[in-house]
Amino acid sequence: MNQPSYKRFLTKLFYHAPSASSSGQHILGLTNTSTMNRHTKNQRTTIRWHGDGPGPNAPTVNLTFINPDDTQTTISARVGETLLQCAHRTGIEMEGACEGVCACSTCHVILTQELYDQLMDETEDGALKENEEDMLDMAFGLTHTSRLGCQITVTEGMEGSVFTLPKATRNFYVDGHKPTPH
Amino acid sequence: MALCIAVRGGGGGTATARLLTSLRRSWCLPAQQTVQRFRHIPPPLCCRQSTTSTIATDVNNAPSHNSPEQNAHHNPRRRLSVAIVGAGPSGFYTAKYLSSTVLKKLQSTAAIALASTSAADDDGGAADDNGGAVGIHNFFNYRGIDIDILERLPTPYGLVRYGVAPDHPEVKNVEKEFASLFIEHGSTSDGETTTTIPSSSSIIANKLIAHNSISTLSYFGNVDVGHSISLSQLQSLYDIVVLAYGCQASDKRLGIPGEAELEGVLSAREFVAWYNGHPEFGHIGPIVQRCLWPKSLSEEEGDATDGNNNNSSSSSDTAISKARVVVIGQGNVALDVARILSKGTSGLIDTDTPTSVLEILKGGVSHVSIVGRRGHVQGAFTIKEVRELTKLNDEGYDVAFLVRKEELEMGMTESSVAELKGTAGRPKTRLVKLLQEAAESTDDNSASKQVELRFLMNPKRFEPDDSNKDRVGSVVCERTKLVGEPFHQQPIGTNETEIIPADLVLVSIGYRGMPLEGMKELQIFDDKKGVVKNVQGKVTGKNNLFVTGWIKRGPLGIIGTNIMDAKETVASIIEFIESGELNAQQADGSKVSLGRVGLTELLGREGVEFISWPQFMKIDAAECDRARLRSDAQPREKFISTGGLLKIALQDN
Repeated sequence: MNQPSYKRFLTKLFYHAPSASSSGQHILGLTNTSTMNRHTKNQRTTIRWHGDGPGPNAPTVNLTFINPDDTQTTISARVGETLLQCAHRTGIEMEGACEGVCACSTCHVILTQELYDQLMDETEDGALKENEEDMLDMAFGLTHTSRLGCQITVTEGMEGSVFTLPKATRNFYVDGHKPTPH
Repeated sequence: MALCIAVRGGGGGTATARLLTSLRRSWCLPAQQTVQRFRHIPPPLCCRQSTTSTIATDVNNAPSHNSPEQNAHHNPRRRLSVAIVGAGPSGFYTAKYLSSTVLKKLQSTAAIALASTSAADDDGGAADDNGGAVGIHNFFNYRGIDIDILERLPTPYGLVRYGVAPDHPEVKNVEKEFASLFIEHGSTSDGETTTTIPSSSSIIANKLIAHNSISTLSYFGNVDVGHSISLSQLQSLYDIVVLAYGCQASDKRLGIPGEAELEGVLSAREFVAWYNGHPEFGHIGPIVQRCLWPKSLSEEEGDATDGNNNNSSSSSDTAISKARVVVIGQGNVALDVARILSKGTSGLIDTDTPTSVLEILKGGVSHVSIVGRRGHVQGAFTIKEVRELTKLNDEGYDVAFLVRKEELEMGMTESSVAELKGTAGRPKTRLVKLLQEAAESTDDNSASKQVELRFLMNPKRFEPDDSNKDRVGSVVCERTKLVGEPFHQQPIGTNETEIIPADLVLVSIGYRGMPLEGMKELQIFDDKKGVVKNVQGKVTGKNNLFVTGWIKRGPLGIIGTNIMDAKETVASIIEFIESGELNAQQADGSKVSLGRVGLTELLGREGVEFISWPQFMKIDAAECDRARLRSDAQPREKFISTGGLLKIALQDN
């Protein structure tokens, strides 16, 4: 990892103003309240929430996922959908327990350093939203370039990007992971 | 063939026809066999909920595949039968990954068949003779999987329904994912635009196999393993039994004077179950009522309710209890109960908190102290839950959040500082910063309620109330200091005592897993740790038992932790089958796995009234009936007695 980006990583982690990113438009992801309302109100419909993304006529980019078993899957993502919506639509094994409202950490995905930096540059203040950071803190196998799939919107600039899904190791309790209490 | 497809109808049928043709070509399967494979195409989606997951359909289907009278070894293409004990997150995730893993295994069956052009036409199936690895060959013995989830309560979802705080509805969204397992994998077909052939073909295969009922899932609610059916009976009915029953039967205890004797000392587990409408914890309500609204306190409010809530004036609905609540322990459960108590009705009215609970909580409680023996760096809570407390006042709940600066300073020992270092310290560092900010900004004291986080306080004993010797009145705490190396600091007593008044005490220091009836004899339960003994999810010893979730690893972790856990257990199940261990255990011929049919018969014989998935759907619909709800925003009003739940589920319509 190159020095400047690591420095920024630390800055992002420890020193960003807590409420700075919670107001105003955010380039990444959906605003939480609007999504949450939509989903909680639709709780009893059988239509799955991830059908809400852009339609089949949206422009597409090719994204590659490195699966937990090290195989690779390249899919065609629609510009404007979240990475989580895209994964569910195309059968990529990414969980989304809270259905994409940034209330769990199950859509954890690892970016390349380049893409991570690029997305950080596109944020308003060089920091992730507070609640995404809070949820990432609980993610299994957290890395410096971890993000939540529900908070990443597919853009045209992502053509060819590679995303790594966290690996499930056998005996994951003896190799250093401490489950977060709840 | 066309006939089969017509069943599915509409545009989906055309698409399926195309896929089917291409798949048949690619798998080199003869048309006749394809027809046979698709004979069990499920009915259209609109009526699936009421038919495919019913026991009747399953029961009708299963024997034709299973031929129970045949020995397993003479029927190489039988179905794998799996029972999962417990319908909480760990059980559901295990069901999900087990069925998807089996689908993948069968896909690789197809892939091997494709690779070998000598595809067989006969009943033996395309791939039986083409096994690459020995392990895979063992797996070919199964042509599908039937998973049955058994649950002690009538309703599924475990702690998602009865543990997750009602003001966290987004966390409960996962229920929909679990419910969707009962509909079908990949049931939404939306005209894929995938570009690369490998991925799209794998999706196609996935969908077709799913449609072919390779994997079925059934729910048996109100079945108490250990009582309704013994563990050993279950083991002999099923090829594989997965224990996923969690740690909700017992608590860790403080073991200090007054804990067991005094009324008003409850475990957080009981309190959480009560405010979530758990049918076995209704008795907690009157205790909470007496503690929060004792005569002396409610007289000050001007209306003595005497434990019986017969006053329905709006002023009393918002009355704030002057009771002092002490929560012992500093995990997220402790923060949950503190938040619920503070918020009261105004913060819970739009949630699924039962109305009977709101009638007791009313406007909330004026003082809640959350007490921990160790410092803020060692707290087990996570930042999201702490941040919620810091925002209660801004969000209009009239609750101040207090942290004492001096306690943070006392907790910042050299070892604590070291614990914050490095990437692993990232979450803690952000949390400490948040707590420090909260300690700095305790300027607004105008709120009528408060929640206080107290650190380095060790509860030594509970003292009775002055006016009621049977009820708790205070908690005697000793100030502690931290001594020791990073991550091994111990709270040592300083002889300095502080007495915290308490009308209600909630002990929130963790749960304890308990063995099922019949486990002692098998010697598979670790009493010390409160978990089932296992290696990567395989229960130790020669048996067909597996374990997942809290009863495997202990009562820690968030819902998502069960994903990795389930994957590990599923990997162990697959290994158990592919290594030939399952066959070896069944080789003596004494065992025939009757699975779902056998279970249904046995429960019928024993007179156990079990709840099927469609029956639970009736409960679900009734709870969400608008006539039952306080407002449009309230997601559901739960039925809070077992009798009420069973009545709805079992009534004819």
